[in-house]
Amino acid sequence: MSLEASPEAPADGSTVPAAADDWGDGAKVRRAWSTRGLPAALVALLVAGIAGTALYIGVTARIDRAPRWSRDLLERAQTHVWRDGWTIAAGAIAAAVGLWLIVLALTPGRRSLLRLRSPGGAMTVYMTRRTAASFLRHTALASSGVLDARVRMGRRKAVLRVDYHFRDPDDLHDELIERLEERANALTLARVPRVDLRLQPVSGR
Amino acid sequence: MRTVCNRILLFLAGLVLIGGGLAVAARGRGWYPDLLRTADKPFITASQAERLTDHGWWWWVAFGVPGLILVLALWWLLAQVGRRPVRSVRVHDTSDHAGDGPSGLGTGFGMVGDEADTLTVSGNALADAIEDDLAYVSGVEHVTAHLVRRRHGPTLRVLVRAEPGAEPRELLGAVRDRVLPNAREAVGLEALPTVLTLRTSRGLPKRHLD
Repeated sequence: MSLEASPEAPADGSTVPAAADDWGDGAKVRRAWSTRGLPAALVALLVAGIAGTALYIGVTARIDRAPRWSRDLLERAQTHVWRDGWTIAAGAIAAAVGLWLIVLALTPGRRSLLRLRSPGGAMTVYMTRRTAASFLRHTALASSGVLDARVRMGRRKAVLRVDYHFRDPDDLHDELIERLEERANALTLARVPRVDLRLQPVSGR
Repeated sequence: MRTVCNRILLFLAGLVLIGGGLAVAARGRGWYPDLLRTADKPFITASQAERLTDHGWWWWVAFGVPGLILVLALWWLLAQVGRRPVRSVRVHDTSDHAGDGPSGLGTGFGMVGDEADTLTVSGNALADAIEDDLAYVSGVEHVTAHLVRRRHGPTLRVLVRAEPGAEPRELLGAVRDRVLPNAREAVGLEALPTVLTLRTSRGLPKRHLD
């Protein structure tokens, strides 16, 4: 089974094609799961390197052509005692890396992707957080009096800091909230983000 | 599949590293001396080295275990780089004249049997056609599409850069109702699972006070 969010199974002829506005609801969709290709490649490379080195040392020692560094290494292994700060540090680092690998294995990753409700037809749609932020910023900038909007997009909440001038703040707040919430709904995100609006007046240059 | 394998192997590697790392650190500190032996011995004692070199089987272990691990690790590494594109899609002639040899699909240059009624379309060509089709959907600025091979057949992966004022609902509706059916009908695919990611360009610049 693939952990990756699988697209909905196509209608197998028994069900009529979904009506144009009958989009999937947000409750069932899952997050995007990363392949974890880079960590896997790095760990594989590291393991291959260690195993290759061990094999090389074994073979060269067997045919009595061990290079100097491998003889030095074995010499050190036979003289160095366990009770040493470096041994403890190496062990602690290895344990920390191991913990990190387990975290990587168990978490979905791909935090930048927001899942959208599926339009049906075996489609799986994502939007990057930056994209959602850009859409909301565009909407905010369309109101008169708005000079700039900076959006911090979370998974559940969009925080907009809006610079404005020559407007009544309450009036602008109501207008922006209404438009932004409408826009947030129209993005068809599986989890509609809450809009947190902060107005900042800009006076003169 | 690759996701699951990677995650299982990463989890196991993490367990081994945690267990090994903690054991090494504990022995270095001298904790649990009866379980981990004393900390005041070298990594490999002289008696251990003697014992190892005395046995004939030791060399087989010394070559075999690292060799096996090496091969498996390289296999795992190479599994990460596979892009698995769809090279070609076979289109069968479903017209009334199917089976009559050279068909209207433009095949049949000396081909007989099944081949004569089958046309192959390169996966790249199909993906490019879908890209071109998508570029005309309103609100779309730029598209990249790829066909990748999955267990259940070809899967389409699309990256759409939308205009900041685009309506995702209309855009996706057009993709679902027009672009994807076109692509499926063109090559006679029953289903074309699609993973689509929306992006936008930078959007409007800040307004200046002047």
